[in-house]
Amino acid sequence: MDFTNAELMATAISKEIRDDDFAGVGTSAQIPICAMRLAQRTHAPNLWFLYGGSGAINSKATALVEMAADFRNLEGAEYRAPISDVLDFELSGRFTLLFLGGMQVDQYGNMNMVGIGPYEKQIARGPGTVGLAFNACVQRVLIYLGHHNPRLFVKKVDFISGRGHSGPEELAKYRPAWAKGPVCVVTPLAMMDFETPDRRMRLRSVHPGHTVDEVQSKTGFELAITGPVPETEPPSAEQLRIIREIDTSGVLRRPVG
Amino acid sequence: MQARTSKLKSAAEALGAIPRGAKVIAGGVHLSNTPMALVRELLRQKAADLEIIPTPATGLWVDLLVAAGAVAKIHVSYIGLEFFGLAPNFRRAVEAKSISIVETDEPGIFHGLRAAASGLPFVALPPIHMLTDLPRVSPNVYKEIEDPFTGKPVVAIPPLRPDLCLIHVAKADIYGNCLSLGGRHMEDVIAKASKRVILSAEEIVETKDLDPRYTTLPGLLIESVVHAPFGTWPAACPGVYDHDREHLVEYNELAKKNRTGEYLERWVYGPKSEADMLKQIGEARLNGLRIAA
Repeated sequence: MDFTNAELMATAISKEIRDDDFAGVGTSAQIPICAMRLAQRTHAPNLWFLYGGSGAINSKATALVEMAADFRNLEGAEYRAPISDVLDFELSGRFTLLFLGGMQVDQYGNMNMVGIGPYEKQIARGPGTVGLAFNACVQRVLIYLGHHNPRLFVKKVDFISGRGHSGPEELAKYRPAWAKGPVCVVTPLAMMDFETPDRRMRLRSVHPGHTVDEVQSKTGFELAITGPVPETEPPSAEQLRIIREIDTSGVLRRPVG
Repeated sequence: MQARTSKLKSAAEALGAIPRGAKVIAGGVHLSNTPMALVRELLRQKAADLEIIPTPATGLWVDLLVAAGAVAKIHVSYIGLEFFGLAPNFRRAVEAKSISIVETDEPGIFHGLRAAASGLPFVALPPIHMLTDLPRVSPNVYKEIEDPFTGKPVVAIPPLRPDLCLIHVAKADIYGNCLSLGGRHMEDVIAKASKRVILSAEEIVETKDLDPRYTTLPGLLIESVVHAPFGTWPAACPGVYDHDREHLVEYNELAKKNRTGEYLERWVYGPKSEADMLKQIGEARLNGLRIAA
């Protein structure tokens, strides 16, 4: 069957979404937004989702636009959340699933958006921490990345903007009991999780056309492997049909990664 | 009986002389609803040594002010150009250490402004920031304290009080009552947190044409009103026109090559006024950005 990597990623992400989720996504959102709308039209009709920037809740925009804050994302939406609502939802733990990313992600799912290199001597300044601290007060975090390479996946991040699973004592002290941190990582090459005794990142599945060796060689730390690594399940004909009804302008048909 | 005073002024009159080191905030999120006409006026007035307190996710206006050498300090939550990626001038200035940074984040900025808006001495948050490197590099923003009620750790965030707040809306009357067609983002919080609020509007309307149930901000918070058609260009004005993608690509390309000076000459210092600048863009191009009513 003919499908793109982006359509595969949207399908894989949709399977992580539950019917009772309230999910939130920020920028670079076309694939996660498509995944949520796919989930609503398949197994999760009761899903609520926030399209960050635009403030749209349950957007049904006729195209997947590149700008999260785009006014057109309000089309068909059921509510327009001002940022005060968004902060309330984030801090009180009302979101059950947030899509977060970063310019560095390490083996424990810590994320960095501040910059590369020691803080006092950064060689590449990033945009800033924005909402990554919420990593520690949302039920589940899905790390979604448009790339997969050793500069992105590093052993230890240069700055912790969002905390993953390192430092169990600190987590016990500062992280609310409902928050489980990152549970899943999706990239153009593979899916990972943290189902290991020390919560290190584990390779869960590899997308069709890629291999375990390739994924490992493009990851800057050793991925845990706890058994045979399956291939990521491709979209069914029905899923693909729905994705293409949502993605009217074909942005997921363009190559990613 | 005395007549009620109109707050309608030119951008230059409304802003007045901006003191060096003024703390400035502007409304909007990413490339939506940024008050660019007022920002360009700041640039034309050669405002200097500004301390920028941005809304939690923004970039274009900050990048432009940095390129012009108008900025001394920035409170950083997210400074970028969204789908275009990093903000090139901001990035270069931080790497070269030519501006200073207060490393903060979305709750740090929002709740700092919230505290100032409500007159609170500080805001206490769940201690999630203790799991990040933010308290280490910004010990004056994130302070771990004991919750006096439970004895558990919480993080205190200090108030943020801008001197000058710039906001753009679709409609306003001459007293500053106004309507954003995109719905309220956090205009209420930034206006209440700031000492002076300057409003620009696409259209000046009669007071009776604004429905108080939907009014975004009351004029009591507004010092001056500026009529600024296409006042967020090249960013989007929600419900009125889209962002000018082609122009933003041009901006980003020049900025990446460290040639924003040419951009400033062509689009900010060169045109004699905003009206002149709009002529330079061209009516057909601008009308092409409009969202059908």
